[in-house]
Amino acid sequence: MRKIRILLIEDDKKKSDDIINFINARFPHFDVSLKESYHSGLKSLFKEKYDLLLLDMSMPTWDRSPFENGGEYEKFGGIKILKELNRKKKILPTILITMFDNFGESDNSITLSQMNLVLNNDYDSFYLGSVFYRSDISKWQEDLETLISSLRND
Amino acid sequence: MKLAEFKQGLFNQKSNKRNLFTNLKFAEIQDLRQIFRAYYKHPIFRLMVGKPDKPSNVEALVEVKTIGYTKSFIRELNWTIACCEQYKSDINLFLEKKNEYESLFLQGDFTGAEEILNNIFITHGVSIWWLENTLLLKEYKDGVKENWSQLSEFSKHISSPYVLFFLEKFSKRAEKNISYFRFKNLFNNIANELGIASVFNEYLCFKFSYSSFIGYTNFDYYLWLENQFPIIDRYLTMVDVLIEVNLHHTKNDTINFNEIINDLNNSFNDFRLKQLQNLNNQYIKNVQQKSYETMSVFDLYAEQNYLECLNTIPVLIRQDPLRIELYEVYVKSLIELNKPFRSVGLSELVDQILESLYNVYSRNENNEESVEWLLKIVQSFGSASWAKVLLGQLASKINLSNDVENYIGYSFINSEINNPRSIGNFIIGVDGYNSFKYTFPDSNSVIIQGYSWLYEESIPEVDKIKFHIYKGRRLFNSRKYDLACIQYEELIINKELTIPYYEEVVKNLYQCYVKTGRLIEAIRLYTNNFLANNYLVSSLEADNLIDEINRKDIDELGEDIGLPIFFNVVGAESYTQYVAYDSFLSYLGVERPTEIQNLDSYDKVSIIYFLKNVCKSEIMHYSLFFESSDDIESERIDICRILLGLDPENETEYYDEIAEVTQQSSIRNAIREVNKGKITININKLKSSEASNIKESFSRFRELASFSKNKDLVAIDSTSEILKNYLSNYENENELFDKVVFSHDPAFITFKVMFLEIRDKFILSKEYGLDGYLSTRIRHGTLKNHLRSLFESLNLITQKNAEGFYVENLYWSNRIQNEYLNEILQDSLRNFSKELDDLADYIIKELIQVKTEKYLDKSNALFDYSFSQDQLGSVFKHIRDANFKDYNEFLELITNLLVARTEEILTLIREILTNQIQSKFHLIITQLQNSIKLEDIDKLLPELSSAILKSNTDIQQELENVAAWFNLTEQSSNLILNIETIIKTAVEITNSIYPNNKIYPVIKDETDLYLSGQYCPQLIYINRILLDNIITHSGMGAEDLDVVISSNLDQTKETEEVYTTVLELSYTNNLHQDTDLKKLDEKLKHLAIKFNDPESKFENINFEGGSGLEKIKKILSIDLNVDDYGINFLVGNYSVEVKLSIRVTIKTVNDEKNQNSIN
Repeated sequence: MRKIRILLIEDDKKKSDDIINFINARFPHFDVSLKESYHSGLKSLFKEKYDLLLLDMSMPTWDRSPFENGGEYEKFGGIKILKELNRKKKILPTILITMFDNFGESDNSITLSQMNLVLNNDYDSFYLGSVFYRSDISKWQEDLETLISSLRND
Repeated sequence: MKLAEFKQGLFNQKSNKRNLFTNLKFAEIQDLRQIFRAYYKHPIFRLMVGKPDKPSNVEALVEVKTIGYTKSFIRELNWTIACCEQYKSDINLFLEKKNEYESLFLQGDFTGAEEILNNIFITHGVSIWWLENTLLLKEYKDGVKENWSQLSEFSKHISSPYVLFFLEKFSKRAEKNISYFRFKNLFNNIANELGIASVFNEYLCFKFSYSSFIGYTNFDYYLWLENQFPIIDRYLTMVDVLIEVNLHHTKNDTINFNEIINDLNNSFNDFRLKQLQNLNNQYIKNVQQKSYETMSVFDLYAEQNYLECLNTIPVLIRQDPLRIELYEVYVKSLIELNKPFRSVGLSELVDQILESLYNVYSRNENNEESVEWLLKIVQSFGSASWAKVLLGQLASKINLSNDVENYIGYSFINSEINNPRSIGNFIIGVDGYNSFKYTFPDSNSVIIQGYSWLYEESIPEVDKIKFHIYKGRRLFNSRKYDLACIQYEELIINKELTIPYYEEVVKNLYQCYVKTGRLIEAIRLYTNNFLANNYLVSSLEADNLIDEINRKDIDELGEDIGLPIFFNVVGAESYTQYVAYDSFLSYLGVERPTEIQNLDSYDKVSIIYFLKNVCKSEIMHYSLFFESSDDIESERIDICRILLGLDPENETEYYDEIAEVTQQSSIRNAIREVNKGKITININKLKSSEASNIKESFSRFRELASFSKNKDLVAIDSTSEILKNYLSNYENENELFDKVVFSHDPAFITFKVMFLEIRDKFILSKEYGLDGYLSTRIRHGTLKNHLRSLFESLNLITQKNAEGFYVENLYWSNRIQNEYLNEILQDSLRNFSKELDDLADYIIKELIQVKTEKYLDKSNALFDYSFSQDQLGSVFKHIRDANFKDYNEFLELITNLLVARTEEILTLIREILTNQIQSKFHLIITQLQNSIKLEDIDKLLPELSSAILKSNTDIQQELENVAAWFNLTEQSSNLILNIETIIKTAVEITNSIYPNNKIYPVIKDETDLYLSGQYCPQLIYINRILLDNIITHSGMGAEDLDVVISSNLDQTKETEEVYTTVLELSYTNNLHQDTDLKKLDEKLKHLAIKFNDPESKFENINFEGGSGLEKIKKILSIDLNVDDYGINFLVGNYSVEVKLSIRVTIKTVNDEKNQNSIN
């Protein structure tokens, strides 16, 4: 059976470990690659062939290293990646997986469900939905599994 | 409620009067009128309303007893109308005086204006309007100090904070030196600080800064709030509200506005109500008398009789300066005749308005400041109708908001003339046009408007250009945009077009392009005109074009360089600009701007603008064709080099940018170098200083080792700790036997003493030992501050006060606006601060410490250099068997052994930091996140939740960074930096550690020195310590801290190729006024004596805290091997200067920059 290739773009080590461990345990035939920035994520998306994208919302511009401080921290880097995919007509099923259930600032904030509606509307051809991740509660695993299963059923 | 019902309630002693009056507000207008007529002046009525309508002095101005808020616009409006109608004669008289006052003000007759104001005070009492205008008149008549004095005088008699708030704002708004934007910002800041409800903020904008807000809606609230104001203010606000409601079509269908406006016109003689009636009826029901004369001037202009306009208008303005429409005709006539501005000689104020309008209409170099000044005038004279007309004129020239049409309508209604321009936009339909034509039968202006709006088929004879202009308008208004494009495309190339008409052509052609989907043409038109004169696009609406572009595939528009320029000009966010940039480069088939071929083939201004303003790091960093920040910087430098050739006139700008980018890059490299590994052991120093000690011991050891190998000699092991350990451990007898054998072997004991002595020097030597570096580079504030800075930059932690309690986190308490939740939040944040500090302290005070089998103060210390008897025995055996002949071999082996142990320890520390310590941080952060979720604070402050989550991700990276410090580095460095860059690097590191207290020293590097080798990182360390001292000991907050750093070199011997001289570094900063200067001077003198004493040793080098001067001394004398250095302190008038002198050897380098270097 062909391995299902997933790209996870996530700069939080704990979160990426949790996600990768969960997918490895639950979907052993999935192959998860990890990228930690806007640049490395997008480059990989355009270079490699994936079946699914798991996308964080906020991320640094570049992969951090002793020689690179990561550049600008893109608060909505995930949306920019979606825009680039859309612009370059790269259709890839995508799940937003975020630790934020609210984006922006008090008077000008948008909840995750509102964000989900916007993204569903703007990228309906490939956006599958969002998962709210919390390291101390495992509900995100059920939500992620449901979304992945919906993809497989399609 | 009917009259009889009210009467019964009023005179029934048992009835609740407050309820009675609240219910009264729900009465129909006719009933209200009856009741008001009968009882408005009744004492109980007055008592309930609770305020004088015409207060006789400022003390009586506001007595807040506002009757219940109905939340219904029509109820509040009816109430206000009924109140105002009780004073209709007074109000009509006031309106006449107001007009006269405004006219005299514009004429510059301030004394006359003052007399009218006094008269208004006597007749109508005090009002907010009167206070506002008294302050304004003081400002213009007597200057700002009299404005302030008057404010102070009022304040003495006014107790209501509400009125005082108003007065203070009116006084500021009147001040000539407070610009439009500054007042707007001040006003916004106050609104934010007060945390006032948005509806009240909206009301304040309506009163103080009309153009600062779009979408006024809560008019019922404004009217209700003003119930407490004198009748004049209530009337003026009522009319303002009615205008707004009419303009924005927010009228409730159930309300008969025509009837209301008609009724009001029956009671009040107000030109604004008359204009409202015209608007509501869609024809000229009321002819304003001033219109006839004004219309004749409009006709002169329409007939292109500009000279006559210039002769007539000044006379008319002098007669009646309130007709602002004439101002526009006057300046446009000057422009048509290509004449410079000339004054009308009425008053400074009128001439300045005219000259500013002239600058704006001719789009000359004074356009921008003139726009700002006019906006300021409109703001200061906010209650004057003429200023409202002026706002409408200005709005159409600067595209004040997307609501320009409403500003224009606003100016028509606030005007004293029937403006033919309202045909088509506001007086719509053939009846409206015919009423104009009927009223002004011979007016060519009316016919031209009629032609433009398709009510006429022809126009009187005008010159060819004007005819095409009118024809263009007609085609545009009839929505024949394709035909209008043709018309305007022919016109736009006509060189005889004057600026106002050229601007009209550009504006309409632009809109035609957008409406017909000719987006590339629209973009070109926009950007070409922007590049020719950026004021020409002031009135173009970019949003419509952006919407159209977004509907298309932007890549299809990439063929034109105008696309990225357009998105840059309109200030689009960086990513959007990148998309346009990328579309353009993709069209060209290149990956980077420097790959663009044939630059000469582009319009020079466009390509320069593109390279200069679009191809910047913040836009290019989205491009996947770059590999790193360094790559982007290198591209930017190459772009600047191209620009040097294309735009030599601005070469200084490009050289400066190249220098800045290069320096930033050098600073980043230096920071990397400093951070890449902070662990150093000066092995060479260790070997050289230990050689003489070891030499003698080693030869004795050799003899003993050779002898004891075959003889069973016994000696006493003086390392009591080890002995104690052995004695307490009898379980394994064989092991014990081995140990005892070795422990009593005199050769072994000699070896052990030598080994442990070297080991102790290796870790604890004050001059070159490991612990000294740990203290200087890691424990001396660095590690804790680095960790803290991350949370400080996200405003999650605070510091302790003098009593040891964590202070309130004002950043969040200012945002939460709920006392109960704030208390909970502050408790959580205090706990969070404490737990983080405790963890950081644990890392520094317990983990990043050294221990040996003898030195056990820090039992958790990770730098564990304990060696068991087994390990020592094994080494001993190896050395004895290897039969080393030279002590250097012995030293080499021991130091290699110690370095290997260090590497093991560092690996372990990196592992602990990125795992166990990371988990501890994660736990603390999760606890905070959970604690704010308990009370749903996270929903109230989503940005707090974001900050907490971000800290969790950032700390992982920060711990990775910190872990990277724990690598052994060589004593050398590849850096080559000048002194300025070294200082800036230290400042940048310091600012990253104190993100909320950044300092911006003035740096004066008067040397040409470039430093290399160890000088770069070591001087960065020295600067870091001195900057830390300034921040910690000055007693000043960062915003008040003035720091000057300078460097000098005694260059008298510069002619020599290699010479020795003194490098002097000076650090000056101000001190808090509470500083005891005498005590400080004594303390610093003592420190200087100690520092400058060559015999002084580094007793406290391994301890943190204090001034860090011993660490500087160690860096200079040991790490840099400088034998002549000194420090001097100069305490001045609440300032202190630290002068550090270092004797250095300079090597002159004869390259093109003639730089010297120390290495």
